[in-house]
Amino acid sequence: MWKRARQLKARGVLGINRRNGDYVLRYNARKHYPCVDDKLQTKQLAIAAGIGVPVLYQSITAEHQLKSLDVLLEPYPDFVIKPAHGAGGDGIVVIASRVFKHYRQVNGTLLTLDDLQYHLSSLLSGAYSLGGHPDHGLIERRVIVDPVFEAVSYEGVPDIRVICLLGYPAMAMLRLPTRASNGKANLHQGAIGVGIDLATGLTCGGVMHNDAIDYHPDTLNSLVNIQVPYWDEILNMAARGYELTKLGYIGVDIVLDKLHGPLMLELNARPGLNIQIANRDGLVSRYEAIEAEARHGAASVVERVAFSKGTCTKKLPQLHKSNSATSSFDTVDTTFK
Amino acid sequence: MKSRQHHLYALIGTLFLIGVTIFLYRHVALDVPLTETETVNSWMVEANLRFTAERNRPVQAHMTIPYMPPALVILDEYFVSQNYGVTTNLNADNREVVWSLRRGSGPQSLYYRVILRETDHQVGSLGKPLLQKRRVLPDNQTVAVETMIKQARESSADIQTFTQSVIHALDKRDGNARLLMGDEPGERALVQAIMTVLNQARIEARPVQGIHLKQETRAETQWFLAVYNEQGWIYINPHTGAAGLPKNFLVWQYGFEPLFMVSGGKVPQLSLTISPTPMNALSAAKTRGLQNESKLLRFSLLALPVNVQETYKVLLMVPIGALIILLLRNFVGLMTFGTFMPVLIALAFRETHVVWGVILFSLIVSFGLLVRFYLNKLRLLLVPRLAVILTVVILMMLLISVMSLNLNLGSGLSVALFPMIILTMTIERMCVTWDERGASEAIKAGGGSLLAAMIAYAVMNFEALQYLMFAFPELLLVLLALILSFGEYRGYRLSELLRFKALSGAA
Repeated sequence: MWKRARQLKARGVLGINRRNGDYVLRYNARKHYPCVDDKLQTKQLAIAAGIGVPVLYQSITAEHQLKSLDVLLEPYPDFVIKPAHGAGGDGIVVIASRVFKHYRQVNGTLLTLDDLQYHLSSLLSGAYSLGGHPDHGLIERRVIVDPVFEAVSYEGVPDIRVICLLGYPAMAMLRLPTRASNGKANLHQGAIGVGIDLATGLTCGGVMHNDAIDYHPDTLNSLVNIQVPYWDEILNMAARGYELTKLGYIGVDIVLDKLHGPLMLELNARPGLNIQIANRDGLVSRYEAIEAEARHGAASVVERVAFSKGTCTKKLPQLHKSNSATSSFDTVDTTFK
Repeated sequence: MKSRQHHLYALIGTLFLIGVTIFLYRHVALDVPLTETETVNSWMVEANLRFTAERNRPVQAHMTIPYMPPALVILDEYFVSQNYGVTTNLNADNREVVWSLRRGSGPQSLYYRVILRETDHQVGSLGKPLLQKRRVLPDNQTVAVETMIKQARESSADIQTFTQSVIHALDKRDGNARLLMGDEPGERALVQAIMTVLNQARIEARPVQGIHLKQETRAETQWFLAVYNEQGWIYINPHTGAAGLPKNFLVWQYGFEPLFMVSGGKVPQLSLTISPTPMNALSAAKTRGLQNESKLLRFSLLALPVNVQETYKVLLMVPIGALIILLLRNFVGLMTFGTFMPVLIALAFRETHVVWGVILFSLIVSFGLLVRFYLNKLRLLLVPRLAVILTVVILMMLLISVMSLNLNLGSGLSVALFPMIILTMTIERMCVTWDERGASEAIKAGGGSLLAAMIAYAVMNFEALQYLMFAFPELLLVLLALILSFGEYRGYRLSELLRFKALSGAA
């Protein structure tokens, strides 16, 4: 037991206690939380800063809007319903098309208007929000998976999680939905986390349920050495999250849209730690390097990304050729729920 | 960062030091016992004064009550007397209680109850006496007394032996003795005779009335003699001449006066009931504190009313429960529903006992879950849904109580003590977790909550600890220091060792 703790320490693996005490509490002022906890606010901030986000179709804030839900949804053949204060992908419904007056989910399940109304109504009363506070719902454009990832995802939309400390990207991973995860990019439910080398944007082997895996279990395609497109844009976008929110320690979730390229989905003020498993590397040494660099004073987004690309890579001797890591997905730590 | 840490460590150190210092002071200097089982011998004496009040006349009842009795210490006393006004006065060597009432009628019953404990402290309330004049005696008695004094002087060395000689002389019941004691030699006459002789010999003495402390419903007062030997008072048995007070003798009054006096009432009667009451050392120490005027001992929870004390016995264990949760969550990484929900469940376990508690808890939560899943189909809004679950939970409790009553399972009744709001929230959260993260996650967190509750219960119900926290509330400061220092733990949780297994192998 002690041996393993020592090994983890030697690899610089970050634990929850230390994450909360040394990073979340230190760099994230409570007063700035609302702008990441409320996805509507995040979206507005991002739009104001010129960062790409999925287009907001409607926002549902009151029960009476549900009566005319069919009218509201009329213009959109496909869309996504999200709770503004949701966490871990809970309460998200993705409608891909319409069949016989039914709404068809990505996995083929048909929902009636009634189902949608009930879902939105529980969403409004806070069923998916932290602490059960009344919530509002966002209806936004459905992201079309970039062809690069079509080969390695099942039903859902893969996303890229970049953890940034003080605006410096520290680690990144690609989260791929599987059949086991019901098309959700949730690592706990069996999604695959694939580490990404910050310097190159190339993936290396992934992790599923804590086991190393080099191919997608549903499509059997290789997970290694996929070049994530728009990599520099993605890193820039992630790094800008710092100026956007004033939060020093965030996880930025980004999706790649077939038409619009990288779009910022949401930010997380308590990014999870599974990214370390996906990358097979600890976060601590990267954070320490970033903290040391940040002491030299403010740097521009481009400088920060450049620093990260040079610094935040795997230092240990590699079996793989690529010196980056795999990624995995991570949920919000349950401690905060 | 550094300054924050220094600040924190200084705070931890200060809290710890203050807590431990007060604890040690109270234990070592004030003798507050460390365990509850330390008991001391103590007695309860109840004096019941009964009389019939005369119609429409003011009533005043005087009764002597013990005051700083030698070898005993008064731990507590109560006056029970419906609507009477109660005052206590000190006069000369005695203390008396005066009960008064403007108008009374019919039979009256007044109680005085005192709790006493043995002590090594021998000094009584008697102070240094003023020199008393020799009384003038009738001629026939003078001769008898002088003879007796002369004889006694010859066969004695000091005041004590002189007194003892006088007692022996009177015990012979010869002519002189009978002359002094009168024809019917009772205890009182004997003591009076001794007093007369001692007075003529210019020796200070007091008659003493008191009782032997032993289980008795109608205790009789007995006589003793206190004699001043220029250094202090010594007690002498007027029958045998033995010096020293016997063990467990309670001095009630000095002097010949009757123990009680009632004006405005007829047929007064006093009965004394004595019973041993083993008392824990803590209460005894508390009383000592009251007598010592020690502020630190006075800051004791024992000064609170008994029912409030019981509440605090429970409340003081809650921080301990919180500490356990802190350990389980931040060091072990156990998943629970709600941060301190297990502590509340553990509190309920105190009443239901742990096995029953677990059974009842699981029963209610699983049935509640079924209802919750059914409600999913009805598509209720959040608040009505919670209200329904709450109602169902209470119905369940009712059902379990009624059923267990019919099956003669007493423990089932205690289900009512479960915090139902907590149960309701648990059911709701468990259901949401079940839906969104799967059954295994939900059951894991539910089981974790239950496990945490059981561990918290085991620790919180540890009686020695309970007593310690109650007797030494300053230990809360130490606990605070402990919690603060544990809060500084930044290492891995046990569960993380498992979680990051993949990262621990060959680097």
